[in-house]
Amino acid sequence: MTKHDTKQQKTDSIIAAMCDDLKPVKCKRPCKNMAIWFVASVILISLIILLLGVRPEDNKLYEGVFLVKSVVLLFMSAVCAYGGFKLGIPDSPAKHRIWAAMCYGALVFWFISLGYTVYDISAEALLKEAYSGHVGCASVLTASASAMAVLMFVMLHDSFPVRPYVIGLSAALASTALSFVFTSYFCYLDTPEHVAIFHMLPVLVITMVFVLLARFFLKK
Amino acid sequence: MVKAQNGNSTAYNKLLNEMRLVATKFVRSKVYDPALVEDIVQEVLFGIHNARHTYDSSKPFMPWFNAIIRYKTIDAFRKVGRNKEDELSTGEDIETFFQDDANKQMQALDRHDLMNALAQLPEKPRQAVILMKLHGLTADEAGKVMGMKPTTVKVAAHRAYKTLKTFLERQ
Repeated sequence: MTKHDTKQQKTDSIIAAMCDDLKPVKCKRPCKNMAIWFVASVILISLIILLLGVRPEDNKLYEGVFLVKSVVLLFMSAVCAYGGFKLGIPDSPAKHRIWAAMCYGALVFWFISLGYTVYDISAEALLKEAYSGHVGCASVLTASASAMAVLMFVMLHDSFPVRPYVIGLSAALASTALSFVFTSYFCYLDTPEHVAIFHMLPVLVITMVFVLLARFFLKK
Repeated sequence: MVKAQNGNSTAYNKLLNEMRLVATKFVRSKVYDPALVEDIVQEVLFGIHNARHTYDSSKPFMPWFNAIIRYKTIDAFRKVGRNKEDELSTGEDIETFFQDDANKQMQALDRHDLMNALAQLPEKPRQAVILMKLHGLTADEAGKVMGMKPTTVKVAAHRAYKTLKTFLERQ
């Protein structure tokens, strides 16, 4: 019996083994998964904000720019989360490319926002940015994005990610966008230096970390 | 596939055998080594098995299946590329044991007792023993079928052997 014949027999055994104790499975839909993740993440970050306290009543919260920014980021978060769950399902490369392009688009948006924020900041001003208890709490809120991204990784654990890095990117972007919106309801400091160092930079670091982590946690 | 998702093993067997042919044809067009073709086909079958809950019945089946084949083929190429330089030929595989003491012991056992003992085991260890000892799969392959890590399968099987030994000794 040749090595090839033995392997073919092994394939027969594998098929028999897979059919032997077959259990019914439920089809997981990305839309439902996204909704569960979104609601769970909003509850998590809302609880943290309630513990830390909402920022003092401020007219800025009702300004058009602030509201539009929040809505755009929430939309971005939802699209990235949906894209992540969509990419966890094997499908035609063309469809995957569309969702991957949306995630890359969101990343470009973050970079443009960061560039716009730090455009006219001097190095001196960045160095003067002081650390305080408030900043610490704001950092906790930003870091909560990691917990949301981990939750998404857990939900994607039994998926079949053909592009793990892109899924890591989408999970990180969805989480950071959501935490960014909610942090702005806590943090009243809006100087460009503060936003650049304590909000935008952590977001990019978290994104990079989760893109790398996806390689280990999501690759099948 | 929908029937397979509902737990119909006959339909699933038919589907896997048909997909095996399609996968073999696809992989053969990319790979010349027949042994490697069969390895990739096995990986594709594991992929279908582990991702069967991701198939949406309202959508066509083939794009879903093709994505798995493509991914597994590329992955196999990467693995082959990585391992090529480190590999040493060990000659032909030895397929049988010189001493068949173990076989003699098995013959001495009553099949009925063994099946009874197997039935006493919890689900996962029982499945591990059946896959590794009856179907002849490796821990890695059994892990892929069960959706577990190979080390976890080994631990489950080891516990099952201990339980089986105790049970059979008592009898």
